[in-house]
Amino acid sequence: MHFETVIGLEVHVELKTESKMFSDAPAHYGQAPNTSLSVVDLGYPGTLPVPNKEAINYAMKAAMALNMDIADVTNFDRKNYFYPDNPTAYQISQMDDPIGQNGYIDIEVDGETRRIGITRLHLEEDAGKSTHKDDYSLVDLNRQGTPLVEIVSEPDIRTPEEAYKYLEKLKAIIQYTGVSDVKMEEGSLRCDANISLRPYGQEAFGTKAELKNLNSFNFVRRGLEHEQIRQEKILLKGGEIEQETRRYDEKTGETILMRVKEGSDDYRYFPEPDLVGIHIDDEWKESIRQTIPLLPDALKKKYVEEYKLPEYDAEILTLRKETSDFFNEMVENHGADAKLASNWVMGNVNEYLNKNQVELADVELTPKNLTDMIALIEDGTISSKQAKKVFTELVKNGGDARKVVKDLGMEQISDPAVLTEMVTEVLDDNPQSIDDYKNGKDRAIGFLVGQIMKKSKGQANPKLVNEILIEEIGKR
Amino acid sequence: MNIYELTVEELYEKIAQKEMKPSEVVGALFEDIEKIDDTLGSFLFVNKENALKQAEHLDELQAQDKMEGELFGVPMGIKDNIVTKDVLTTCASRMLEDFHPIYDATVMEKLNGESSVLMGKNNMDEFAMGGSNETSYFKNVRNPWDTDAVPGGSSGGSAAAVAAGLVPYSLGSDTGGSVRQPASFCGVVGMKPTYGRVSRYGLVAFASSLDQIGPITRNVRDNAKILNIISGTNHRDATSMPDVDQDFLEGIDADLSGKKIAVPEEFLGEGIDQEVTDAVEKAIKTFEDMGATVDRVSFPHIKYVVSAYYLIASSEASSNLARFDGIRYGYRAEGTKTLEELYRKTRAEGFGEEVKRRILLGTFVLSAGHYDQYYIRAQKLRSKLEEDMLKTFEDYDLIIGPTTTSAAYDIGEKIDDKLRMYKDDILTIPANLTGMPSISIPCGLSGKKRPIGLQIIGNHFEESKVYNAAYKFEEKYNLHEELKEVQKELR
Amino acid sequence: MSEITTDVVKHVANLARIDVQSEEKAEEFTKELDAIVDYAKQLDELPLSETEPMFHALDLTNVMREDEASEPLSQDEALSNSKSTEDGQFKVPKML
Repeated sequence: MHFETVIGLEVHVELKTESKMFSDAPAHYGQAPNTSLSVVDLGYPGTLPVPNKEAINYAMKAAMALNMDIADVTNFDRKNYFYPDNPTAYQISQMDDPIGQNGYIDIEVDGETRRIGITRLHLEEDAGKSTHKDDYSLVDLNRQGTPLVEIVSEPDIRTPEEAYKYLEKLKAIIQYTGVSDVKMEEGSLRCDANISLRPYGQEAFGTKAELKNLNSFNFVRRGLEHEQIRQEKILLKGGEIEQETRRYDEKTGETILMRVKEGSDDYRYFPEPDLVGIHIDDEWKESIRQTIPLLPDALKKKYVEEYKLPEYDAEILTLRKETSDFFNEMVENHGADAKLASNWVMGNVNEYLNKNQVELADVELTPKNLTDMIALIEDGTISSKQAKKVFTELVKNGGDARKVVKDLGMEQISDPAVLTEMVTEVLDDNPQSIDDYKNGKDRAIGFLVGQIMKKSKGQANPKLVNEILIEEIGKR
Repeated sequence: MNIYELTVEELYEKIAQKEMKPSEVVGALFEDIEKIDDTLGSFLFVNKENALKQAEHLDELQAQDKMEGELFGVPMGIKDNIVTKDVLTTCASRMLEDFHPIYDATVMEKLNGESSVLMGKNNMDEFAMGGSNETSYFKNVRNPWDTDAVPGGSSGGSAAAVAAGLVPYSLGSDTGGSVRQPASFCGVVGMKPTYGRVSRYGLVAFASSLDQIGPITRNVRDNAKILNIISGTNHRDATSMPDVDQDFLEGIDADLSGKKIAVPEEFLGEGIDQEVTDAVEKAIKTFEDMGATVDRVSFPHIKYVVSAYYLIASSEASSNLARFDGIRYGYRAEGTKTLEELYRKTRAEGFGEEVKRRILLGTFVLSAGHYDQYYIRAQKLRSKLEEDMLKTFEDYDLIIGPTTTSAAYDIGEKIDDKLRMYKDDILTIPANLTGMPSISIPCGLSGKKRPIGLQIIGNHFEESKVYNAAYKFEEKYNLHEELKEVQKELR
Repeated sequence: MSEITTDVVKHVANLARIDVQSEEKAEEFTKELDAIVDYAKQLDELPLSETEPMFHALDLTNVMREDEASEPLSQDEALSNSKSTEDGQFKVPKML
């Protein structure tokens, strides 16, 4: 790159409340359009908004988790614009007094920690959805009024990779707070990116483009990569970047012009006269702070320092809350060895989930039965190879690990008396092999072990069989 | 005895005593409406079928001695910007010509809960924007005292219907004087309560930070009784004040001796008709005779209130009325090919001129580069005015003055001079900007025999003091007999 | 004279999505708005730099509701006042 890239991200996160931001309609809804509405959500004349306290709590919790200063007084404003999915023609949002300001998150890039500033976090209401047909559009307002926080980063991000890491970390932190599902594929997390270039050493920002339709973190990275090259080409040719909104095309991996911005949009913000101010005193703040669990960074530190896990393991385990919850339960409640548990969770478990595109919650595996299974490997009841089968069974159908092993007929025979009896029988039947072994043909042992395994239907503990066999041959 | 002359309390009493059946009362008033409202134009929609059915049901309850509700069988009119479930609510606009709300305003739930009977929806200025009822999309309202005169506005239909004896009470809404000014023009009693006293839920918003619903009645006691019923906190309204329940009838007849009353010089000076000033001076004398002391004070910021009001109210209105886009309810322009065209034509054709003018003004005020100069300065003026008034209330119980600068004028007389009409609101606006309660009661008649109103303003949540003074004044001066003559003549 | 010109009126009408319909109408609005805005300039003569704006007429804070959901409207109710619907949704002409 001939230029320095400057990226800022705007992330919208839907909050997981029971009811909507300003009405008592349910915030979860099914498929049928326009069935999750109150007269408030429809923008009926005469209706009034009343803020959802839980949404304010959640926003505050998210802001605290992002190391932000929490406002003592927060206010709502109207943002006026016409659109069919915006029934009152204004969105209730926050302009001058957002809930949170001045935060940051740390990301790891190439082994170094980078701190990305977060300008603000504010609460607002989500809009409905429009579907476009050939010559008309249809509007479903179910999503209208769902509480949303907008998290705006400082223009501190310098590469598409950093943007990716920022989003990954932001998602993990919000997920740990439990205030949102943060699922991009379901729209509960959405991201727009601003990107501009400037000569190295220059302080002033270049003209930025806004990227939309970034439907996964990978698309954010790829869209930014494409955009940075596009802008670089223009600048190298002596051209100028226009302030415009561009759309990422998933098929071509390119960004496409949506519209050129003429000045700033005139949203005619003004204080929402239907709502009064929210004063957040220290007691309220403290009560929310108490509910914040260990966040990824703190948890990672604990894994490295207390559980002696490698940094890499700790990083992977704390990317998703359900992963670390699972791991924690194995270690803390069921006494699993941390490193062994980590190997399984990071290895087979993640591999299975990724391959089948499912989540921990969707499978039957539990921290308890995985811990038990590991114990059965350790005490020699099953072999590592057998464990793979047991694991598959536990993931698909669940159940008690020991019982599964039994039902699969896998339990090893490790009783020396039983094994000695088998060995004796096999030796009696194969005097030739004993001679061969004594004449230095080591291969004969393999044959004999094979015969014993056959006799035991594969259940004899091979290590013990070997020991007993050599001992018994020695006696003859 | 004529049914149309009876007050809320009298009707309630007679029905309770079984001297009259609800259906008799309702039937008689519908007859009157049919007879004279073609002339007056005070109703936009007459709810006859529903009302008669309800009245018959109430008859049965009466016969079974199962009468429940403080307004059992008492008819009501409701300004057409208060939503009534399944009953046409138009705001006197083409925009809502066929709008059937799917919910009831909180005040309607309360009044229905007291078994009052909805006779119909009262005419008004379109979306409550106007002071003469001449901006109604459907028809003008005429003043019962003189059908050449305007009834005032925007609650002109409510005031005219109550004055004409078509209903014993109606609810209006007051954003800059829209209850008090028509009450003054029609010789009846109109109250704008403290902001937050009555829930705005279900009142089609004009200017959210100024709007209040208030009762219009023929006497002060009825007014206090209706406010008792419609006030109270509401969990659906974040601007309704909690824990302010009060009985406004209690102590309404208390002695006024020792009360301290302030009269702002600005209320009786330049721009006020002499006959209005004379009537108010007489009223001042009456208060003094009753033992109150009346002092002249000065509100230096009064001369700015019209500017501040129109900037703020229009700004809020421009946003509140943006929802009328033809998509979910209301008028929809036909044959439009693009969304933009749908918006522009629907709103151009659905709104009348006055509404458009105020939307444009408000949009200008809020737009980039003008917000600080106009909107913020207007809101600062509001602080200044409140300072003046709160300071006065440290020493005085009440502030009095005229409600309007003149008695009712002729239809068509002022409608072409917008700014002049806006300036007429100077006396009523202060109570809206500060959120203070204010009542208008009759205090005289003009040379043309048109009523003149006295305005009594109280400190926040001191409606009781306001009602007390109004009631005591009404005992000394009222237009009750004159009004009966007016009603008789109309019939 | 204030800063209200026909162009300003047209710009504002565009923001408000109101078709001004004719040049005459635009000029009429211009004249009327100009008179009002010009009058409102009287506020400029007041020293207000130290004064806080008063956005609300009442002294009230922290009005919130508990996070409880009620039964929503049926689809029929939600669409009942609309002039154009399809498949349970509101129908609008194409967006450009």
